[in-house]
Amino acid sequence: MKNLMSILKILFLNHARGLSYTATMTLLLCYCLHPARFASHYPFIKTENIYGEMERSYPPRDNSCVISVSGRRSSQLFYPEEYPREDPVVMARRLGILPGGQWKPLNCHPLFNVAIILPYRHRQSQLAIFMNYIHPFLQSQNLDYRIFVIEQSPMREFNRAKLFNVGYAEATKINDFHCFIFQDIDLIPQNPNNIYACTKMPRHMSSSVNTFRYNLPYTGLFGGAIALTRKQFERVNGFSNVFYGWGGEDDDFYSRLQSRGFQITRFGPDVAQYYMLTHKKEPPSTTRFANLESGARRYDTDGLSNLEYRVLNHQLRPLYSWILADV
Amino acid sequence: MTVWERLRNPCGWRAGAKQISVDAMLPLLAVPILAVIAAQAFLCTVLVFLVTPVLVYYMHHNFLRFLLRTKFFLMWTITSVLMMMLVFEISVVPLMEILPEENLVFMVCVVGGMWCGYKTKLNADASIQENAGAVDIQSLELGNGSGELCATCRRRTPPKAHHCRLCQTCILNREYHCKWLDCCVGSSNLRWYVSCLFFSAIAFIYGSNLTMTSVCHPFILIGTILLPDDCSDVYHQLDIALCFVSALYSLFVGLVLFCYLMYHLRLLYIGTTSNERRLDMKNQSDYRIINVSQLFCCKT
Repeated sequence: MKNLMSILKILFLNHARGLSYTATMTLLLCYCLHPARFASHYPFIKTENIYGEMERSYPPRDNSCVISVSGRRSSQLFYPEEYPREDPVVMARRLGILPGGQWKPLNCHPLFNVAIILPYRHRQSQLAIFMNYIHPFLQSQNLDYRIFVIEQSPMREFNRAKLFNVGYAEATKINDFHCFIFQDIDLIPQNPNNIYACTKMPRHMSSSVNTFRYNLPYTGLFGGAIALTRKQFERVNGFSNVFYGWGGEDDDFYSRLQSRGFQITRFGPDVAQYYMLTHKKEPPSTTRFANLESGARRYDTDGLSNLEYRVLNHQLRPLYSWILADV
Repeated sequence: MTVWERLRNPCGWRAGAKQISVDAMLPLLAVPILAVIAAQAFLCTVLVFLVTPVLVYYMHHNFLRFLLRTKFFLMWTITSVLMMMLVFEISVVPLMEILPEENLVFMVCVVGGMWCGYKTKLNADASIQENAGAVDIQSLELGNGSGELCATCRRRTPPKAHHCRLCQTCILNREYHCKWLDCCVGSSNLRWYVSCLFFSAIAFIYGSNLTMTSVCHPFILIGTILLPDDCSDVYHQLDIALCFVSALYSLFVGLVLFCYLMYHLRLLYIGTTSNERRLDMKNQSDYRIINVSQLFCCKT
């Protein structure tokens, strides 16, 4: 009897061991293959539909500019010149750029009227690389554009979101822009099909950045480079003003858009490639999660409606309008 | 059950206390420590990668080869594979830059490599036991009558069998004794061994590429194939640096495995075994290359 018991026990233990191994392996495998841990595929506007999805700033005329969205493959990606030698003044004269970084096509009527807002601080070399690259890029798309660089005075931590609001407010004082592009200075669009103008819905432009292996980390990402029409931006009351330090403001802006019923769009991974200029990562801000959590209560009160800032300096430089603001 | 007994007997209830020797435990500590040291700065990485092979060779030459069948190299393999898997799943994947299908391909290769390695070991052991059994002894002894007498086994062996000092038996079509898997490679498990080389070479090189392009600044080579071009800022964070170090390590391992795979495919194509080639070379008294490769890998 004792023998039998021991045999049974051994059998049971044997079985339990196998079972526990199987269970552990299955759990491990499920964890390892769980899709939420990976970059995601996302819905996007097909390359042939891009032209139809664009929101035009001016009604089309018979001599309107042609926007050529060709099915060129991604093998012909552009890369920025790392050490631009050309003097900005010479470059502006060569490309016919007006002071303040303004340009519009002369031989045809542009379809899009775009303000490009770039928040900036201490990135002298990146600014030079960006400006050297972006003007020919935008000109090839026949846009009516102007570039604003909003620099924050050195008093407080960097507030990217509020600088966007400032840029928006200052740009609207100058001209009645129809479309706004809010973009970081270290992102270089590599594909000429990535039209720098607005779509019918707010668009996340930098969905395929090289530092993310040209993948989109998560579908709720709305940072980097984004394009909104003026109406859309006013509808969501702009960015939140409270996000000092790195991080959080883009997720907050995404939930603002969601709360107003906007569905964001993207171009495909074969169009929206970006090249990120290298820089040291900043440590994330500690208050970002608290600000994110309380975000929903501030959609109406915090943003363009309570924007307060001081313009310390405003210059029309050869390749861009430079605004130094105290926020 | 005391802690020490538990430690000696980690595999559970019934296995009985197994004495785990110091030389087998050493890699469990050494590999992670070396990885962490290497992750401190670029210079440390270079130093560790240069010093470790020398150190291991020195240890082998002076201590390990006097121990009969040390588990040091097997444990080194297991620890390395586990460490690289952990680094990949814990540090690289949460960067959310890898697509699910890329991970799936990688995991299939890893599991395939592990499985084939396991089968290699299993079949090698099986063949030894078979050889010990009566049936095979007969066939071995009688084998065509043309066999030579193995001095150590004291029995007649088929023409292409060779004696392995470590396995203490004669192995049919013996290639060599693979230290890293701690078993002999012969005709009974050569196919598993080659597929293990194949899968693990792919897994190591592909995993290395995935990790490198995640932590570094990548560029597009052709189509969707990425290569890293600027890895200057990986040493600011320890976990990123660990990813980089393990990627570098797995790249080296993958390349060595790839060379071995090519070597074996060529031998299979010619229809010979490395053991015979080696003996031929010895006869020609030109085996300097073998000595170099002994430093790297399996042959004894």
